[in-house]
Amino acid sequence: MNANNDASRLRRELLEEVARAFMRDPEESSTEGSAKGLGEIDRVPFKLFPRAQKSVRCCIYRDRAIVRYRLLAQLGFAIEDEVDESTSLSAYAQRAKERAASGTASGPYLTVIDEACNSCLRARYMVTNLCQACLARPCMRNCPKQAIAIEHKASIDEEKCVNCGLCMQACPYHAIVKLSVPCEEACPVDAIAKDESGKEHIDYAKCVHCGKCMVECPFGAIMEKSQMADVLSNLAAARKAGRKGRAPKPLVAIYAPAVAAQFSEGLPKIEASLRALGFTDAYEVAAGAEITAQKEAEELSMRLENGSGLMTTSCCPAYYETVRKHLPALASQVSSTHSPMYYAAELAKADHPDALIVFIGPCVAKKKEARESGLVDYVLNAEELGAMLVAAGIELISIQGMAPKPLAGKDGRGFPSSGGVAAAVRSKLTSLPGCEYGCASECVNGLDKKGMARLKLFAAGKLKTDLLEVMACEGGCIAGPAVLVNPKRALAQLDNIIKNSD
Amino acid sequence: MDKRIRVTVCCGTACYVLGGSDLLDLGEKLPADLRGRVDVDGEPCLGLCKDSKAGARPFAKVDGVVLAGATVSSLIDAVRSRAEALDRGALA
Repeated sequence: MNANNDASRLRRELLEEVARAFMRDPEESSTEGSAKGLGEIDRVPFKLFPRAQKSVRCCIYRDRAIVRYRLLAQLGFAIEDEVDESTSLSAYAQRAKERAASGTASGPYLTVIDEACNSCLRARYMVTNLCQACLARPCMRNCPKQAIAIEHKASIDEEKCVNCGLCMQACPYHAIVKLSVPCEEACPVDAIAKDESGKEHIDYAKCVHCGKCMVECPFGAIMEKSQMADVLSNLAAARKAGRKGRAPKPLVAIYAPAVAAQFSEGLPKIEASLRALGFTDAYEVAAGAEITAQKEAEELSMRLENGSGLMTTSCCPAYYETVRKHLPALASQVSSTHSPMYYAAELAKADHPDALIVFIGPCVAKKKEARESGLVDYVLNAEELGAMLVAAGIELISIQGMAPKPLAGKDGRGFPSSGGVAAAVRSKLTSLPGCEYGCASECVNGLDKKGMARLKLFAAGKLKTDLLEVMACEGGCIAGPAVLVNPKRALAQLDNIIKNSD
Repeated sequence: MDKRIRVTVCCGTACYVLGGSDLLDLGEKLPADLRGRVDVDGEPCLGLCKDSKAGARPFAKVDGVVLAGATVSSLIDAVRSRAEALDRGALA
């Protein structure tokens, strides 16, 4: 789906409201219902859907109710955990603030708003009234399972149907349609399914947090459990400590090149805007990517020497989870090198041992990787960063830029587009002794059903190569689940950043 | 010679984040008959987001006329109306 649609727009407007409420929170703790600060959150459903406005769903009351749940997710709560429907949003905001002070943000990282879920009709093929019950009966003749009978009109026996779609292709009247459930269709690992009432639920034992269901649901029913409120609370606490002359707990941002590519203004403006938001320092994750590429090249050269077969990249956490949960046969082929986020966090920690490290990326799965790394405290996505900039009134165009640290180059900054990781590893490999000739490489560009099938061929040894780059998102991280712009624009903006690299 | 139409897209952070980035790519999405007579430019914040009466973000202008809550399709419609108005004017 286009990165800019009415669902993503609503999500961003709401994030902006949450960010603004936290930024306006008065110095002393805000009491529930206070006009300024966190109390403002209670007004948001009414502000977005005032009485006179045309409703999107059946009525504005339902629209408001769903907005309330969206805000809950954006405050970092799982809808499934709600025990008291009458708890106000500002009370939740207060809890988020307290959670931020105690430093915990845990999984699962996605949540389904059952109120927003459309309970889409079960995925299957269906004969519509356009059926003419023709003489030729191509649907019947093409069905490999004899699942079609015609009496006045064709009908499909669901017991026999295997969903091959041949009948739909054969019908000259286009009378057969495919009913799809976008979230189920998008999930590469069959982790989302209906309950008895038709509402979707995620099975977290299977889920790899790729975020595809969230992107594809036309009702925006699947949301990320945000950590933005935690980051904003900590930024506010740091500002407050600074004002009172106490040593503040600093926050350091590490930002992915895929996020830098969401904006057209280039790295210096992003660096400056992160400082303007209150981050003490910022590091490019591309600097970590340089380390990842170097270490993966070294690991690959050893594997090539030992003849231990193909090595896959390891930087995509949704891919890594997929191997862990669904393709254990491939586990020994995944490089043991850490991700760019990990090494970037190490760089940041070395300079700022007491800081909270905030990763900013386009990805849902990074939240899980961050938690497991023990190095990264919080994860923000590109939409949340965008909303924070808007709420803070930061204009990227007019802000005075500042140069990023000279730690990253073309290789690292090229990581987030498909083929970029393999290219970086090969580039580092050719400068290793004995590896001048490089190696063969292939990419699995996106873990959709096709990508999964291809990956399984590599796992089974039916397809061979030396280096296999796997990215869960088609196009790479620039086409991640939580971005601001469409991949084509992001790629052009990334190319500009790379062009300006040494 | 057809009169050229100037589309100005607000590149302020708020407009950009709320979908303005798509409007900057209007050039590629214009129907064939309009392509080639439209200039699309981005400009720093037009200040419209600070005016509560101006409407929803993102904002764009077609020959100076403000379009609120702009989408690629509403912008194409506005460009088409403008083109038709200009063509009528040229005939009269």
